[in-house]
Amino acid sequence: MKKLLILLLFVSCTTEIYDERLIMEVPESLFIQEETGLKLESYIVKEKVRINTKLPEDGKYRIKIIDFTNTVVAQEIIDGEEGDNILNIYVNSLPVSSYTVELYTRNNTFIGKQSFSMN
Amino acid sequence: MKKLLFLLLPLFCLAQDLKLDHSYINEPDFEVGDTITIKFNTIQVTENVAPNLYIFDYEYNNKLLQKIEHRFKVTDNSANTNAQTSLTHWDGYKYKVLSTYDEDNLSAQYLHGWFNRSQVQGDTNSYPTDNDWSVERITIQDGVGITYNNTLIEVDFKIKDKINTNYSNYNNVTHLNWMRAEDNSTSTKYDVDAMQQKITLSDVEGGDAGSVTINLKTENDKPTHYKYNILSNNSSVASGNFDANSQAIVTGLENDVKYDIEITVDNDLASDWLDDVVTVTDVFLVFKEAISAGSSPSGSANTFTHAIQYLLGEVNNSGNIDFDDSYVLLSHIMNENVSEYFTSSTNGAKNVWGEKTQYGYATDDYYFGQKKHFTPTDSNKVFDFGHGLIGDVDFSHSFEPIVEETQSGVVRGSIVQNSSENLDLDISTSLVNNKVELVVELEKDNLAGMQFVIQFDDSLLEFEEVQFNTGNLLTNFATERNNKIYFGSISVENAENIKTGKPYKIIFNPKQNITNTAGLVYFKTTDAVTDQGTKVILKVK
Repeated sequence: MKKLLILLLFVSCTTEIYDERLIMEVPESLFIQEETGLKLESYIVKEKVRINTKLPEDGKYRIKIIDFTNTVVAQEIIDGEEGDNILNIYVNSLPVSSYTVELYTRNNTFIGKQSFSMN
Repeated sequence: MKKLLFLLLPLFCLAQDLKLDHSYINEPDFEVGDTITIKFNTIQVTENVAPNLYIFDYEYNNKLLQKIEHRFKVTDNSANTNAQTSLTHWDGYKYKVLSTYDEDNLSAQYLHGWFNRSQVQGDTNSYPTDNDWSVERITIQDGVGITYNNTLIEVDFKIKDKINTNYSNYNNVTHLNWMRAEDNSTSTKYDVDAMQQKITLSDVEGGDAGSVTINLKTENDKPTHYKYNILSNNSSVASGNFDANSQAIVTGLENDVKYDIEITVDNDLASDWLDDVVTVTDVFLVFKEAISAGSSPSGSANTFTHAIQYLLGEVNNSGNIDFDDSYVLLSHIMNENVSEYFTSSTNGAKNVWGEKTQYGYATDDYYFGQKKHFTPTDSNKVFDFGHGLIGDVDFSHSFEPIVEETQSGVVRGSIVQNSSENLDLDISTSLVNNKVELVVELEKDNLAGMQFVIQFDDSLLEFEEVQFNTGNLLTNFATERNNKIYFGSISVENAENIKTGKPYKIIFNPKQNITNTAGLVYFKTTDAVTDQGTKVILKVK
């Protein structure tokens, strides 16, 4: 009975609403030690590759795919969440080549980059 | 002091973990035309260093070496049979060594000279253009350490004749640019130095003193898609394709004999870009010429700068430039082929060519300067030919005629190309309510025409529609062809410019669940023109 009362007391005193978020499970291959950054699961890509975009806060971010001539050939604006965000780079529409993936804030502040080659 | 030196020595040695080497495996001496094989391998310096990811760039002199083929050998090693490999090739670039680090410190050149080059003040371009060089990027990754000393890859080259080049020997024909070596499971990066960084071929013998060089002059970056055919008395004596260096080295010709030459685009090889030759800028220029100068090149308000534009813009075989020509070109960008007389994937390439200094200038002897012959002599074995394509009045894929010469040599007067403007443009894709949206954002308010070609992953996306918000008086167009979408607008009456804001939104339906959209849509080509007829080079920011 005492236990029940204590539990009820605790529940009744808790008025703050918590925004529950699923904690994203980050595979070892995409683990980023630093507070922010970008990591690819593989550096040789066919069809698609998983990436981790580790972000400083919730908001909109740009993922740019840049070719050898430094031309942006694909760009996505994502709604990212603070921390790890496991996404994909799809490469079927790209000509077979090597590319750099770069991560920016919506206002083009650089966060991180990686390169990959297609086969 | 001695003790101090001994103490410091291991510290210097620790600065490198492995070396990258490359060398030829053939026995010298070499002759022009010989095939040599260059092998690449790594050498261990520090114990317990076992990278499982290699990415490195090297370059070779394409004036002196012609690449034949390559073979990955890393998977022949029993420890690395599952290694994944990739090789990417680019022509016309040369690595600019970052001088603040040793040239042979390949890992520093990777990190600072290439990867973070954009942060080097005043020296941000790691790969400036250089027609004499080709770059290859090799990537090897495995789940286990990549073994040392075994060959990673072999590359075969044919030795080219140095005659008619600016090179007097075969020194430093290759160069190791940079390397990333890493244990990908722990993100441990290793220091790499070059062993033999450059290869020199000594005492290369032979070479045909009678070889003739034909140089192709074009704005197009696909010279290997162009063919040559050399004729004597209407019989072909030599033929082939131009190389990546826009050259054809022809042997077997005789001095003081006049040869005819045909230079044409290989329609099969070029099928992917022939429809990109005529764009919204060409339509607008022809339209402006038609309304200001009528059907006569001697009109008082010419839009065209070069006489040859009257040949390139005459696309309905009427003999004049008029509204019908602009209509033909407008129909093309709206995916309708209403004439057979201009360059497109349906019609094939419509070729124009002539000796460089004559090209474009009509004389009694040569129609629009198409001097299509040459005569090799003992003192002259190099010939330059300009090439153009009918429909391409903005010279995006054509040689723009020379307009002046100086004492120091010929100066190309690229009036049309040089007058173009640059414009940063924001194009992006997003996942919105389970649909993929591509949005073009425009801030510039004086554009009379814009055209885009995008390529999408049709295994994952289905095209739904293009939504235009360009203005009331513009002609909009959108066409899906295979996995490409051609869309844009043009102010045919020149009465209204394209509205700023978000003039275009393209919507796709995913065929299966996707997490996001990166890479699903490839920005293939863009083109724009101002209301004054100036070409605008769009750069996605």
